[in-house]
Amino acid sequence: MKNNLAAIKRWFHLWGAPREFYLRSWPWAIGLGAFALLFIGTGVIWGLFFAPPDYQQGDSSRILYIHVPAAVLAQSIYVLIAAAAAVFLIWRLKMADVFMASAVGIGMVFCALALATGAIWGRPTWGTWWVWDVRTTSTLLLLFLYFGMIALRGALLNTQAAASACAILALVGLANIPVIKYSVDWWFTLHQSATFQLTVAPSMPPEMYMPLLATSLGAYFLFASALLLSMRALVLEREQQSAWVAELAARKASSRRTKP
Amino acid sequence: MMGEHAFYVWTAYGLFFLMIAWLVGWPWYRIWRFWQTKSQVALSALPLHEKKH
Repeated sequence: MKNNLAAIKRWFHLWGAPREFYLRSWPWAIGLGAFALLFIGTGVIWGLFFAPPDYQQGDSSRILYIHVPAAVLAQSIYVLIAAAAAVFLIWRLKMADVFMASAVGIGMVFCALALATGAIWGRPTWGTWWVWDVRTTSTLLLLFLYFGMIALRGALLNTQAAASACAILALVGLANIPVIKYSVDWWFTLHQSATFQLTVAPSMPPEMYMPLLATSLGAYFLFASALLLSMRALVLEREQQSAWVAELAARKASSRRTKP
Repeated sequence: MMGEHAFYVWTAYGLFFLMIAWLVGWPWYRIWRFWQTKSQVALSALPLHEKKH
């Protein structure tokens, strides 16, 4: 047990160092990206060409194979950002802020996609692009929270102050997540209830459920890969004055010089 | 998939593919641009006799 704790601590220290993170994250970003391609590719082809259309919604139900993963990811990413915010506020870990700053942009894109695909699905199904339903409105609020964190970081010149302000905003905004998640149970809403439930067997047939599962898993892999890439870019930009970046740059320059 | 709601379905999937391209392409470009600039600076800092041109 003690050995396991020490190993976890060592792992955190290793990945918490910008240089080690930069050097070690590349194969992970590529590997996770390959998994994302595999799962999303399978799910999209299956969902678009092989899954049957819904008996009421028709072909527009195929939009759910990307709408549901986007919405799930928008919420999951926010929870992860809030966890990183707590880590940053307690331990002042540099990489926790890099995580927050990188994940915010990705979460915002997923949230915007969830709202856009929801509107596109709503037009043929509900007969309108938008309704002020609790689920859609609280998801719009989530998008504004993402905008807020990006704007706050851009507005403050001091990196530490910006990181702390964003961390506090992330923790305050966490209250919105249960509202999004349980709004369909707490209130009478137009939006349908949860598609995935861990404790209940899916109500959809497997030929519709499986592509949804594939695109959802693929979206998680895509997030992980894009996050690592984004964190690598931010680490480089923040550490550009460090000796290890200068050393890597010199190595790259010398390899360019020796090329024919 | 050329059914009744093809326009809606393909618009949504088009946005999805754009999102993937953005999420992967943008950080990739930032890293590439960073090393381009850095290695140019490192190259220009080399003594003249070590440069090829």
